[in-house]
Amino acid sequence: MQDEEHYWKVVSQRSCGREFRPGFKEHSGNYRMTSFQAAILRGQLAALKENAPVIDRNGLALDGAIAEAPGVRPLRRNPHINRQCGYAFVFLYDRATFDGLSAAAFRQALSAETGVNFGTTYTPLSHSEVYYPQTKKRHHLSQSYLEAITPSRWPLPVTEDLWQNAR
Amino acid sequence: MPARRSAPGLLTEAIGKIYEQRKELLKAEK
Repeated sequence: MQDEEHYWKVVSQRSCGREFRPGFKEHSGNYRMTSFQAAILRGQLAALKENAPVIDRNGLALDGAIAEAPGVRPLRRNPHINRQCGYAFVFLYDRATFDGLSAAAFRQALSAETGVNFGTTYTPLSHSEVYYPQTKKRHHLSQSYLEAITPSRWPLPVTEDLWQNAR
Repeated sequence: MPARRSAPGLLTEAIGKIYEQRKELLKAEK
């Protein structure tokens, strides 16, 4: 963090708004890490240093493979980002090049060919089987409020198309 | 002993194979 004032604000905010440096108090909750979590994190940070460049190289190699194959495209890489997040490998599928073959059938075929499972995006919250904020007692303020926060009330055609067809 | 294939190479090949098979299938249906 480059800005020291910002640093002390964050320090205060993660620790119930305590004033560790005079003048810097950000009222908040307890976001302090436990000693056990810190111990795990130290190991993970050491591993990250070694693994991140490897994951990045692998991602670039897979992007290259996708760029050479028909009907698929790698995701655009912003030249200002020197290392892309390697959480999951993603590419775009063009159904038209495969004469209308559904993305689901393509994924199934690719999984069968490679022995690696290819899935789609996470389920949108509007279709989630576990995200029901409206069932929580604390939200029972009024009927209109409950209706307003019910995720399934949102029609999200673009999201749903990406989820189902990943075009 | 065959040379060890690289994962990117297999990926390109697998997609190409699906593409070709799709074309063949549609040709056969016509």
